[in-house]
Amino acid sequence: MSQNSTADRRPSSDADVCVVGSGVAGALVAYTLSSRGHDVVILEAGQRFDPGNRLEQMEQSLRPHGSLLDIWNMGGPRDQYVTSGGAYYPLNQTRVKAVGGTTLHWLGITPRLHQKDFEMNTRYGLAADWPIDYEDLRPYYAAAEQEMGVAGTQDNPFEPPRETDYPMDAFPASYSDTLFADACDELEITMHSTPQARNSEAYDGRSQCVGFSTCIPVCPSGAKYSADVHVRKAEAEGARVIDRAPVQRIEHDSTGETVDAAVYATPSGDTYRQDADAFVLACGAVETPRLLLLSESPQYPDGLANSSGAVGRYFMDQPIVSVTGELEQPTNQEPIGYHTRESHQFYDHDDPQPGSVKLVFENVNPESVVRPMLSGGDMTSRENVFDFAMGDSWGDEVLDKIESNYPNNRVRLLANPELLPRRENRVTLDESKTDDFGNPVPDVSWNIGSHARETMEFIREVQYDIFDELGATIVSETDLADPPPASHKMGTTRMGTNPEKSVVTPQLRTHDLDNLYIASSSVFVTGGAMNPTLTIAALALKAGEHIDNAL
Amino acid sequence: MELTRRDALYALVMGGGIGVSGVAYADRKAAENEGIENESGFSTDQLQTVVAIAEVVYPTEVTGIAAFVKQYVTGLRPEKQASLIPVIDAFSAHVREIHDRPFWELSISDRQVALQELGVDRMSPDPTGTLPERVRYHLINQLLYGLFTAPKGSKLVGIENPVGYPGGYQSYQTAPDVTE
Ligand SMILES: Cc1cc2nc3c(=O)[nH]c(=O)nc-3n(C[C@H](O)[C@H](O)[C@H](O)COP(=O)(O)OP(=O)(O)OC[C@H]3O[C@@H](n4cnc5c(N)ncnc54)[C@H](O)[C@@H]3O)c2cc1C
Ligand code: SF4
Repeated sequence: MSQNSTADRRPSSDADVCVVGSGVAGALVAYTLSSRGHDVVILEAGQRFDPGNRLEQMEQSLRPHGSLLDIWNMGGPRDQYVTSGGAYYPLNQTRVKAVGGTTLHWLGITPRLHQKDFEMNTRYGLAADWPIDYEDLRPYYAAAEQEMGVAGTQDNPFEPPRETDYPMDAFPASYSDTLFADACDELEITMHSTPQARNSEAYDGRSQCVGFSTCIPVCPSGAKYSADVHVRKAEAEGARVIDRAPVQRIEHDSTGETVDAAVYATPSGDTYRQDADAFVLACGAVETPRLLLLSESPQYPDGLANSSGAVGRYFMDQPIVSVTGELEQPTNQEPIGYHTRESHQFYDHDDPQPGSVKLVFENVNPESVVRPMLSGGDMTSRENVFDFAMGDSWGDEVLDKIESNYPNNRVRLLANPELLPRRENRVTLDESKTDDFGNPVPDVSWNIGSHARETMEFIREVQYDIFDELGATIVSETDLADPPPASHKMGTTRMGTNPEKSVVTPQLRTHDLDNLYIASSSVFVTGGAMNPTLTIAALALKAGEHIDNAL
Repeated sequence: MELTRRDALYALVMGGGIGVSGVAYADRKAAENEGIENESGFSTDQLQTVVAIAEVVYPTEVTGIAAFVKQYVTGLRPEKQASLIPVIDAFSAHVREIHDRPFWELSISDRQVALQELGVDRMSPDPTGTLPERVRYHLINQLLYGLFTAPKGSKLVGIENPVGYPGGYQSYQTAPDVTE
């Protein structure tokens, strides 16, 4: 099924809606519309992975062979890119192109944005306000939590108002969370549970989390939500998925007001046109603007739906700030693939600076010993999982190395600061390099502005304070000058009411074309410091409703 | 630390059943299999070769290797077993040519030397590569994977529920056992 290159990939006739991309955004739009009786076809660039192979993929991820990117077939000629900003952006490590999209590989943390994130300009004179506010999105947040299956508990005093309980109880604190508790009490830092799209009990026909501890890159039990769940639900409602069908361009009618077709390629070398009444781009925050830019025409010389010139602009992600410390006592933490406690205390700031930041109590000890055992004692860790240098010992020798390299007394704090949208942080086309279809590749230009830098410095101090109070010795920390991104890509086709400054309306329809919608974090006006995917899901459900009304 | 066939079934849980039901299945299977000898596609020679490799690459603290390894490799999925067999045969033929004896008849230190002479310790694992690369991938690393994703094996490094074993949900909440 997955690599089938002879499947029927001819277009559907009489499709009501063509959804491009089958990540969580595309899957939820497709499910919403197909369950309301519309004929939906999904065009997905990547392949379909058989859920029956997830254990094997897990083994592949634990064995030191090949690259982690191979597990979901990320990278290669299809996924060529360049990065030209002040900070390097490792694009292929932040996305999966396959049925289910990046949620096949994600961690699954699902907080809501806070009210302030929608009102950055009104409150602080920074960035821009969203054209909708938290209250507009609130019912969709609740629906998204139900759809994905979010475990959480209302113990977070900083959380924005909510009307319903989480569908499942939160995960209990890890042992290492409890080690932070006294220090945080002393410093008056409130720890609380972490909402996550992971089953703390059996939910929606999927297993409870059993603790394989390999959530990134793959959950073998199905306890972690991934969007292929809603792709299958959409199919059960009659939707059709055409995999390995990268859309090359979107074509409009002679007036330039309506999209006619999505032109896609197939593995057999054919090119087809999929017609539909409405089109939804759900290709993530890099491929969505890229596809619009690739679809330029005489009416839209700067790219489809780009009369504002905003397509590709305001690209955002959140840099990671992390500190690891050693305690004198053993932490003896048994592995689990996710964290269970956070603090949103530093989120709703009064002054413009420092900005919002989310503090995370990470589970670190001990890391997987399978990989170093199998690498002949080569100590790879989660930070450098792309390093596959081989050691040359086994047996007792490796055991000794591991015992001395994995002191069982480590704790770690992580944080994501907000990064403000900046016009010059953007996705453009680089004509000098092409993908496997000869299309110019995306160039991601990412710079970390002073607002995020000040916020990073602020939270690093908080992290130091906690470690001081704990009596921990710091053993490593991420470089504030060169932080890795959290893989939370946002911006690039922003939402707004002014067609001269934004790409989509509050109903997620492009200003320029009557039947072209966008479901993606690309429509975010600001990114906040929360993980984006629950908001992507909420917006997808909202888009689905608007399209249903328009059809 | 003594390994048993039951431990091998625990190691196989991640290759088959899921979670608690998988563990229960492993327990039941272990009871059913008590006393049953090799019913797999492996010959006795092939199994002896694999056991002899495990005796080199497993830490010396580990005992009960033969029972564990036989149960483990014969319990692997049929495709996996099928991928092991040609590598075992090629490796055995190579050793016989040089040492004039089957691998398992060599002393542990000679076996270590035989693996080193072939370059297995210096090569990266590759399922379709050269003989040493394939030995490293299909035999050595598969055996180490079985040991270190099973609770008993990973206890050697102080972990009750290793990454890759479906039993971590309770254990991540528990405090260290300072008596150990
Ligand atoms: C390691 C990691 C951990 C993460 N952890 C979290 C987390 O804990 N919480 C959180 O909120 N977020 C997390 N994220 C981010 C999260 O995964 C993404 O925000 C989310 O999955 C994006 O969903 P999407 O549907 O918008 O895009 P995607 O999932 O990227 O889907 C886009 C789809 O469109 C397809 N596509 C692209 N171009 C075309 C084309 N031309 N034609 C046809 N199809 C096309 C792609 O193949 C892909 O399948 C994480 C990401 C990574 C990489
Ligand atoms: S720990 Fe992660 S990988 Fe394992 S079952 Fe739970 S969610 Fe899935």
